[in-house]
Amino acid sequence: VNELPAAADLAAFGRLARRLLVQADSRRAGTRTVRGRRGAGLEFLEHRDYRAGDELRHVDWRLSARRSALLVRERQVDAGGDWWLCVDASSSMATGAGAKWRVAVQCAVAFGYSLLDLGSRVGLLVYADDVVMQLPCGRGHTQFARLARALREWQPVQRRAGSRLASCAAQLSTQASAIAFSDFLTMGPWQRELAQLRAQTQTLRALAFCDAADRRLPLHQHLSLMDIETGQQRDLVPGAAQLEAAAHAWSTRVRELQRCCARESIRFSVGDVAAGWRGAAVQHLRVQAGPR
Amino acid sequence: MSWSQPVWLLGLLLVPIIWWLHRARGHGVPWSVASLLLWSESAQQGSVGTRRAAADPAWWRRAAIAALLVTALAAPRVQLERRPVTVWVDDGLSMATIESDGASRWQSGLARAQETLAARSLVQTEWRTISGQSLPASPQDLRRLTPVTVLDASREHWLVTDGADPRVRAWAAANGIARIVPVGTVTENVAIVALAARPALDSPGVLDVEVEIVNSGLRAAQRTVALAGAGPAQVPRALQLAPLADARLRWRVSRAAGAIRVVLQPGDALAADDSLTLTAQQLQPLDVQLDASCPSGLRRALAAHDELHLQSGAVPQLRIDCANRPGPQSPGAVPRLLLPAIDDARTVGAAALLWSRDAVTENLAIPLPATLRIGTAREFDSARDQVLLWTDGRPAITRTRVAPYTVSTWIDLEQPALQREPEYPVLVAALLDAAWGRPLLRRFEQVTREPALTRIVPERRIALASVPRAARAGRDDSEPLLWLALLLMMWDLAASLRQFIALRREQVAR
Repeated sequence: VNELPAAADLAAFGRLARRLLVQADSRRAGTRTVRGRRGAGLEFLEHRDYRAGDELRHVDWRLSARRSALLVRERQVDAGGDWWLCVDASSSMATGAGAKWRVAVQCAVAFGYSLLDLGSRVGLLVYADDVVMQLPCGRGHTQFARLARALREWQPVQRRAGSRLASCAAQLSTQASAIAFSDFLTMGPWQRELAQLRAQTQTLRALAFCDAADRRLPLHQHLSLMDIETGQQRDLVPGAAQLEAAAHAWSTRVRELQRCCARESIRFSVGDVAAGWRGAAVQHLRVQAGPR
Repeated sequence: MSWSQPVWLLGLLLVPIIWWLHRARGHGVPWSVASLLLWSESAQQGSVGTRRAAADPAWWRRAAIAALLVTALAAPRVQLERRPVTVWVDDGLSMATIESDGASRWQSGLARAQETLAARSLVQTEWRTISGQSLPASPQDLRRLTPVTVLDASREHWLVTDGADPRVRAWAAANGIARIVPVGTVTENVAIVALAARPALDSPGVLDVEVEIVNSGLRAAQRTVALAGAGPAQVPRALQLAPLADARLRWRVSRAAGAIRVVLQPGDALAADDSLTLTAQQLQPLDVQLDASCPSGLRRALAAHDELHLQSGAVPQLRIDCANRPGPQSPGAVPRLLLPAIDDARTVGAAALLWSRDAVTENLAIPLPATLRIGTAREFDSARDQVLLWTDGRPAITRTRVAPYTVSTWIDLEQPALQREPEYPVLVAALLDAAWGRPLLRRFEQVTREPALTRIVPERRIALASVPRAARAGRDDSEPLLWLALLLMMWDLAASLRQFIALRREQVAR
């Protein structure tokens, strides 16, 4: 069973997130305030002139009488407030005593709480090689309870489960937003998958979790390394140079992620599990979005 | 530097094998990682250039341990000084074995030792058998005596041997032999190890002969056994013997044969044990000289005895004197039975007779007639004589304590009633057995050869572990190598233990 953040911590994070998320959305839209997309939702967006083919039930008769012209009410689609939490449950998330998985779950719960508190609908996708668990979008405390229960009890597959972010894309509607929680240590075509998911969503955020234990091996011992996701093996006698090379490889991966996310206008941050979920989540809230 | 066991140097081939096992095969500790992305070759090269991954540090330790052990087993020797050499030559029967080149092991060993000595320019050499004797002129004269046990520490000691006798190997290991000169390749030998003869119990003129034959070789052997010098020609017998098996063959030959000779055909590499000869003269009936005054019943009993021959010649082998006084024998005398004159004989029941412990021990105690007439022993010296039969606290039969024995009896053997008793000849035979010193009807002769001496299978692996350093010509450098190997083994063990603890910690942390 995964330990979830305490209610007080969630409330504090929710207050911070409300402010930072609103600021972020404002910045993303430039000088304009938040503007929804026209659609068949319940929320009122604006009035416009009647065009042939508009349904008469959308005509605002009172305003049309005052302006002496037919005006119809336009509404914004509700899907614009849907958020999907995509949590990576591949085997690599279970290494290092499961620290990455634990922090990812806690971050997902915290963001879910904050988004539900902001009135959004929140859904959950737990994925590995494919989507292994899905919680449909919903609102309110009941949805948070479902979300928390699902994440509290779920554990990543211990071996031979890869990480394929693209599997989530098929589950998302084009008007939804998503937050991906992963260690991004896959050797697959992760850049294409990120772009594919970004194209599928209105907004995409990505939290990468790093664990120093992933870059640590017993020194000067003949090890037969096995990739826990692919099962590939390699003999190695790690020394200081190998540890340095591993740190370098991780930095390279982070730079590549940053470049890709900037290109795709994905808010991206790297959270060290040693800082806990709060550090990773707050750091992500402060990330500037790149141009799209 | 020289090597005592250079064949062990082939073990150095272990080093590349150990390298291959550590580098090519990969027997690392299984370790799961989040992604090989972090530990790929390209990642390392990107960071630290084209430097290869470090080798398992344990491989060179283990290779060094193997190399040191192999080198130590090859026994490197560093020549320090030249000391006079004593060459000890195995004087066992197996050294008379003729090898395929026609020379005996003895000759080959001497020649090889001389070559080695000449190659090392060693001239102050002493040659001895391991019994400490001078070398015999011929291998046929080989005769193993008690080996020398203390060797001169100021000299270097070599041993020429085929190693066939385990006692020689033990002697070499225990007495500071510095160098072995091995000889011999032949392994097959069949030997006669025993020849025995005795008078046949059911036929007076015949001897029962038994021969024991052993196959000391490593393969089955077939031989024909022929008996010679035993009167009428005997038919040779074929024999099939498994390795290390033995067989006993029996013949009946005429008692007139003076010597019995057994021969194995065809002969083998060790001819000295292919025949055995037994002299049968000692098995002829004894010549007995009987006093004219002896009773006729006694004469008849002697005539009926298969192992006695009454004669009146000058040199009897046993003498019977009647009506003489007991007393010490003159030097060179023969065993005799003495019947003193009896003038106070009385009748004694069998219940009053008691055989002494000496008589019982020597199986002289026999059933006696129900009544006997026994006189009084007038001259009895307890220091000189031992009593064989007591009657009412007085001796009835005595015997001198020292051979040749004189047996005196005060039993009235002239008594007519006694001479008609069936026990009479048995009593006479028992008295003569006591005088002769052993039962006349159970005489036998035998010639034996120790079976271990007939084994000629050479053994080249002779341990010299206990040779003291001072007795060797050169310094033995194997000991420091062994110590170094031991240190490396301890290091490797400690490193493995440290790695194990580190791995456990890492696994717990993960």
